[in-house]
Amino acid sequence: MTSSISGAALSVTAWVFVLCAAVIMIRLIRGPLAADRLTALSAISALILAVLVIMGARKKMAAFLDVGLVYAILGFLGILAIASYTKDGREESRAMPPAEYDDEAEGLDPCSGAEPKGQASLKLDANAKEAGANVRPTE
Amino acid sequence: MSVMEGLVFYAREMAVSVCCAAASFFALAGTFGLFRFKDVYVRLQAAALVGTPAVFSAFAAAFCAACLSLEPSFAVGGRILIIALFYAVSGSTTTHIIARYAWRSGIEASSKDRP
Repeated sequence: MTSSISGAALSVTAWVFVLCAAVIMIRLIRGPLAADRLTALSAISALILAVLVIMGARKKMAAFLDVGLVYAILGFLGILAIASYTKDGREESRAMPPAEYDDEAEGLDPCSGAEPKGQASLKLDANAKEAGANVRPTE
Repeated sequence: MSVMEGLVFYAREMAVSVCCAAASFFALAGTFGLFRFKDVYVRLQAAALVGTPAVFSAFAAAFCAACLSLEPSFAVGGRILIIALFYAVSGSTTTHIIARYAWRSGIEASSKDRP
């Protein structure tokens, strides 16, 4: 058992990683965009994996590392699933610059009741996320 | 035998300490950058800084702590190598997936409209 400087260094590193994961949790909760939340989630998953590996090496228990391998696989698949199933990016929505939608939303807002349920409101619905994505970080 | 034991002991202590210091530094720097930067893509780079150098330094420290001794435990070391091999593929792929997701969502890469 490592009962010397290396054991203390491993323990301190594990606590630093836990602290960093706790701080990144703020970004996960508060992140203005979905991509920010995914970023924070991947960072937290990496830190927890590193903590599991450090604990397994420090206690010389291979069960921690088995759990860590499964956690790494499931974290990767989870982020892949989230990024594919919450996909709102189609090619036509990327082709237009989102600033136009911002202006359109401003112009449509006062007379949204008078507008017929036509193509304009459909476009607004389809691109509400991008409009919000561009407005929120500037605040 | 005693000299050999001392050499291995000091080599392990040095390697584990250096790798742990590097891992802590990279993790703290990446966490700082995740809150300091203004753009999604730059924040993604900071998260990749947490993801790759910090985690691989921690893997190296754990591997040295497990295997750099006179009675190495290859059950732990082999598993650490397998996890590192998997993570070397999946970590960068995750970063690419998130970047592609952000790009296809129409998020602008430039920060010209932000202070």
